[in-house]
Amino acid sequence: MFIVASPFKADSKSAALGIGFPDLPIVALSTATTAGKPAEELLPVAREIRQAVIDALIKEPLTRTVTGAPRPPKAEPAKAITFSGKTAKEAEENMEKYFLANKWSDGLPMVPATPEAVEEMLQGTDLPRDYTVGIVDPKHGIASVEKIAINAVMAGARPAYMPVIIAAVQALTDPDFDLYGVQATTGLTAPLVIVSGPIINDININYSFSTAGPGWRANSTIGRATRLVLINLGQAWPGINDMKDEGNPAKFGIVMAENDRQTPPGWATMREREGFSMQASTVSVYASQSYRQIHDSQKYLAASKKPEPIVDPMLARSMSTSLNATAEQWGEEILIAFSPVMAENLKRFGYTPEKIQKELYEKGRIRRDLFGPRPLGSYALTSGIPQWIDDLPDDALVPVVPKAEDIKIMVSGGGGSGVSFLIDRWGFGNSHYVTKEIKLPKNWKKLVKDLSGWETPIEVK
Amino acid sequence: MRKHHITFLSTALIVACFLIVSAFGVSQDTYAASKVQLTVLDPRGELFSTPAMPINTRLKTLEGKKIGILNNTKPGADYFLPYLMQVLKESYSTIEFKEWKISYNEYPNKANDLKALAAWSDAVIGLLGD
Repeated sequence: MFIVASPFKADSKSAALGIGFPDLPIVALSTATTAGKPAEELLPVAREIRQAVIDALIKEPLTRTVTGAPRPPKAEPAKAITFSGKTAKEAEENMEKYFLANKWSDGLPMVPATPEAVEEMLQGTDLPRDYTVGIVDPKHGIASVEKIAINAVMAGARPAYMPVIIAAVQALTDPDFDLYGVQATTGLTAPLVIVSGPIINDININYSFSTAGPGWRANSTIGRATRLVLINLGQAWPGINDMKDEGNPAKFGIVMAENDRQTPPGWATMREREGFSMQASTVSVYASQSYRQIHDSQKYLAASKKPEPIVDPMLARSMSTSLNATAEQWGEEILIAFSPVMAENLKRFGYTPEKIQKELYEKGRIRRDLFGPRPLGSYALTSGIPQWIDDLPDDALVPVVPKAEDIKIMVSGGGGSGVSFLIDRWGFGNSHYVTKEIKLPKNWKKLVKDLSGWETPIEVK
Repeated sequence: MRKHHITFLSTALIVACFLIVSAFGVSQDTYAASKVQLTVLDPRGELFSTPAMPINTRLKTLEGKKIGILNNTKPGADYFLPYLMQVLKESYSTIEFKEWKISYNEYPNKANDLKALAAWSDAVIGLLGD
């Protein structure tokens, strides 16, 4: 049996069902938290649940599940649902209301996934419609190509975006991403989708000014489609099995793109550093947490009496001060999206992505005492903070990631004054930065041609 | 004459219907004359789950039994556990407890610890939540 704090009752029942123990007794406390509370508060809580705990251990459940047959990971064809109304608008509104009531929506208006629209979306891939792309946690939903296409239609995506959406779902469901943790955690994380390669130009993904913002059909709907997949196929829902106290704006679905065009000559692209060719297109997913501005390199250089390397102290200091607030989220990767101007300034002083990684690893460190008083305890240690950090003296400086190459670097965004992003990560689970190659279907040229009229101009300066 | 009368009534009825529909502002809708149906495909997929298993037969009593505690390592469990053990001991004085601290993300690497927990225990209480 399990005892859970009150907010986690539905979450734990959902998890028990998911792992095949629907009868598992779960007793919820009458309080949301017990940490730090004195005996006079906790003893009555323990007395409240005593009989329920005893019953759970000595009384047989009223119903007993019979061992079920294994269910193969095979998707069934999607069921049709019909809505009616006096007008087309009313029928659509009835669909929207039904989807909202059933938790099938992200809250925004949706494009109806009619059989015809889904057929059109399926033109965006050569994979069979019943092909399983991945299993989406926390409820282990089978992400077939058809179900991904349905959610892509609802998001407003175009068929030419399907290769990116499918690769993103492959990345999200890769065990290295720990989607179960990302979806279910109380930590305020959401997947960030990063696209790199020639497909960016093919389908008009904004890689320049405000790449992480609205205005481009591809950025907005690819991100939204991945969120709808997480909602509808993973069946994650706030307060049920998605326990993020505050959520995260990136849960609406953010797509950023690498700016190849303004990446300094000689700097390898992100996809190349992840082991793919320059000609390949890739999608990466990252369990982002906070999006922090790092300094305007132009102002720094103007204020400096002499040109000097700007990684130390400017970037390193920014990184360490940013991460002071989240030292307990130590581990895995950290992502820096350099604006083209900051990248150009760094290049001018002889920096490469590898040199930046090395210097930031050495100089962008955080003090040991920011992790908490020693000993950190099992919670911190099992969340990924190694014992050697706990053993350091309070004033020792700790690197923010296990290895220099865990500092992921890309050039992205517009060429303004050099204001860049440091995007930190959810550090409790085992979520890693995962990259997948985007596979194009045979009819790619036609799909791209059909996108005519769906482009928004991209300002590159 | 009768036929002409019927034609006049039909025309009047059609005009009246048109006026009523126009008054409610839906005359421009292509589908105004009939009920519109919208068919969409269900965005949800099948769930891939492990076969359902019944839970073990419950104990007859907790007297003299070994209760393994699976602490998920979050701070709340550490605070609550002493009081849980205290109130259960008040009811069953010979009950024994032994604690294992294992986070969910350690399960793959701590299979032996989980086996040890199962081997020692007559029953297990898991403590979850923050």
